[in-house]
Amino acid sequence: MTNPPRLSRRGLYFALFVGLDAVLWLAAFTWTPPKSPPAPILSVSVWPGTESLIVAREMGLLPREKINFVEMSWSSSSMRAFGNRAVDIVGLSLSETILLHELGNPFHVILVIDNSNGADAIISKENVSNISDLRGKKIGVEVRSSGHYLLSRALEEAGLTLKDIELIPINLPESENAIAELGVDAVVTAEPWLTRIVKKGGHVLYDSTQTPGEFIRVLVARESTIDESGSALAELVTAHFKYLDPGLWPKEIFEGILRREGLSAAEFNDSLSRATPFSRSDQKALLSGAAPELMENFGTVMRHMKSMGLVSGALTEDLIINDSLISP
Amino acid sequence: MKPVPPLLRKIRFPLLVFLAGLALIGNHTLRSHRQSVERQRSNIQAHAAQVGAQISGMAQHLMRKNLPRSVDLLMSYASVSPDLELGLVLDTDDVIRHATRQQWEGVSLSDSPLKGIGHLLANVRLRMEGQVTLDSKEESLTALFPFWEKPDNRSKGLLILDYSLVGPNRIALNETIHEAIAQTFALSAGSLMLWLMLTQWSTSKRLGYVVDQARTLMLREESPVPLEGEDELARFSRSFSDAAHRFGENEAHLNQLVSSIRDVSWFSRNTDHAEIFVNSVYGEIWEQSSDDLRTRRWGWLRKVIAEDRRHAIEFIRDLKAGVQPPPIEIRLCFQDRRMKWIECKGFFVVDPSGQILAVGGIATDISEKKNVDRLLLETAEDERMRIGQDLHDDVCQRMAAAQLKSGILQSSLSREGLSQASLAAEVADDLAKATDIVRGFAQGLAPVALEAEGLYEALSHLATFVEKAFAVRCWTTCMALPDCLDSTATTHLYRIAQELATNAARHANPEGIGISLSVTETTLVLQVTNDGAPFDGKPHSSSGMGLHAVRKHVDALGGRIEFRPSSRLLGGTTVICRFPVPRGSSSKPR
Repeated sequence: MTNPPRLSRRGLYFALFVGLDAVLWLAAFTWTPPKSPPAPILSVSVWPGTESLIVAREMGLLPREKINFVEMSWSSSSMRAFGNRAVDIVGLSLSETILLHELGNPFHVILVIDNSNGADAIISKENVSNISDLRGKKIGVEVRSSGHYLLSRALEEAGLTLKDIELIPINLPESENAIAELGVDAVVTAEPWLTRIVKKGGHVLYDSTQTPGEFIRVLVARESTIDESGSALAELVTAHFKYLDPGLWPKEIFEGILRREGLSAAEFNDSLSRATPFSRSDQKALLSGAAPELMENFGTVMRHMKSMGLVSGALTEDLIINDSLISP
Repeated sequence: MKPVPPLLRKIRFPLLVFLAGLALIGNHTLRSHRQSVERQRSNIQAHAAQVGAQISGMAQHLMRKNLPRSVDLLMSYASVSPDLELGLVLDTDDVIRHATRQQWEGVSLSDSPLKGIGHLLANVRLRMEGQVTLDSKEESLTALFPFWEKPDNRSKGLLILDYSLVGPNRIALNETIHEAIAQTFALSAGSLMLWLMLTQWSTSKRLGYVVDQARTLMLREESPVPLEGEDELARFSRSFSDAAHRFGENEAHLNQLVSSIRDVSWFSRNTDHAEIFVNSVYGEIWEQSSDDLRTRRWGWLRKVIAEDRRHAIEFIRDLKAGVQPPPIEIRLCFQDRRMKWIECKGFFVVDPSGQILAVGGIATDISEKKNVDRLLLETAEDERMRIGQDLHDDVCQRMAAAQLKSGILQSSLSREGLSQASLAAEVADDLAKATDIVRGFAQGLAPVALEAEGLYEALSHLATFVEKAFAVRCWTTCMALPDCLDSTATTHLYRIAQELATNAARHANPEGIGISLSVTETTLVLQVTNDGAPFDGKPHSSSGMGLHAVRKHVDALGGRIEFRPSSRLLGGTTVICRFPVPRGSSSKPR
């Protein structure tokens, strides 16, 4: 007499083995190594407010496997590198961010680094005493940068336009010797070259203290990078906050930072005071909510840029403020 | 040797394939990893050489043009490579002019992280050829590319690109491991499929089917349909099915043949406890079912009378030992006292190595033949009796009368004084002698003593005759005979004794011949002994008929004859004839 339960159990085992075999074949043909995207590339310029990231790298918090640092000395080159996808994360001013956004690069603003309180300035020879004196003068400026915006704002306030001056395109590091070597009457620069030029006798004609809230620097990241390397970006943000205070920087690393900046310790601390950092709690107010405060700053800058003909379009909703990485 | 557990036996082939595959994958993984590392290293090497050549060439141009920021930009783009640990541009004094990490700008090489490669610089500057160097631990790769810093043939700048190989090595390991994982999945799937095919779909299942075929043949059930396909098992199954079919046909033919013969045919494998195959005739002759032989293999021996069992057993033993025995005759005895004569012939089957595989034989009921022989003997005896009687009653009387007349003639002639009287006396004497001889023949042919005085008297006369005829001492001894012996039986006994005694006197040249009759509860023994030349019982040409006749008489009484030496030292022959005595017989005094 047959034993139905035994037969059905045997059939069940057979079906299980066939199923297991099918799963194994499927796994064999579809198995691919887990996707490990390349480490996101961060472009950092020589700027006191982002030296915390350099310190974090040197401290081993951000190894190359997580964040690959590319050091670029001027922002327009960083924007270009971001545009041609050579870098994925870049620190920019609001005006530069708007220009980058206008080019159609999808990115998120993930961190507010600092607010320039005089770290961006127009420096002139001694024969130029005010902005109005710049009419017809040669002015060295990095085109499509925050310096360009600063110059426009200064001219705007003085009732002038860019057409009223002779614009000499330079990059930021060249600003240090532009007056002497290029024969310009004024130069638009930023820290640390600002301190160096002033140290050489330069005269601050106009600076970012006169346009509060318009020279905020932010960290933007490519949209795909946030998807693929969100955790690395979170560590980047955390590392920034960890080494925000220069008092925590080891001496050897601090010396390296001073070499980068080309400043003494006092000069560096002084320049750093002109780039006020935002704490983690400040980020909440600036980035979070239905109407982040930062959007107001963007709106202001956008308005001025448009009125000065620096941009043609409008600020769209594509400019995404992403606060997911600043949570403690 | 320890038996293989059933589970291991079922999976051992796929398991061996899996283990062999794992070994291959392991070997392939090691080789693949080495190749992958080499490939990664080659890529880095090529990249370093390309980037180094480009940047050094451009740096030479840009530095001469005093465009240091452009060199900075070049170094920035060089650092996009995830494996570039540090890139430096040195001036002719080994001071770092540009670096991918700008904190090292303005620092001497000896104060930088790459101070360990200082010994390579002189040679590169001397040859003014780029060089890519792998460190001893194979964890980093350094490219050094010289360039002319100034157009003075002395200022030699240098580009240094230091690449870490840790990342590429990790990528190579990662690639290799995941390739091995995919291969292991494929191997596991293949091994599992092989096992399923072996156990469920293919060989094992089909093999089990063939085993079932064999089992049905053993159980004499209908053979299942053979396997389909063209593989070895299918062909084997078909051949097996054909063989089973032919076997069935042959078996049917054999059964038909066996059932048509009237002899018992038997067959058995030459192993202990092997079943004995017999045809249905066994039941008819042995008058018992052949099924009994399945449980009692020696059940057939019970019907064989005790005297013949030893012969039967020796017959079987010889066959099983590979010795061809001569045919034997055994007797079966039944409860109603009937007896059957069976002639047994045997054969054995050997394999090519000479091993006895099986034994078999034919048992023929020869009872009828024995009866015919007995009737022939009785007829011959009757004829012999009639001739003897005629000789005694007629010829002897006539010769006696002639002798008497010759005596009278001799007396008459003597009285006449005729010389023919002596001749008549000689005739009378010759007639007397001839009469004695004829009477002796007559007594031999018709031993009237058998009926008149009993067997003992007849034997005594026989002894007297032998003594007279052959001048040999002859004597008889006889115990009380069973009352069941009729005249036919006593005639047979007499004839046996007569033939044996005269044969012995005639051929063995003995000094004495003894004839004895003895009886036990079951056996009557007739023994004829002489002290002459030994005789083994095998008939010679001259005495063949006589011995043949003796055997016929012995058979007629259901007896058995045996020849043996009388004495090992003195020779002579004793012939012993044993006859069964029916139960319930009593002996009557002589």
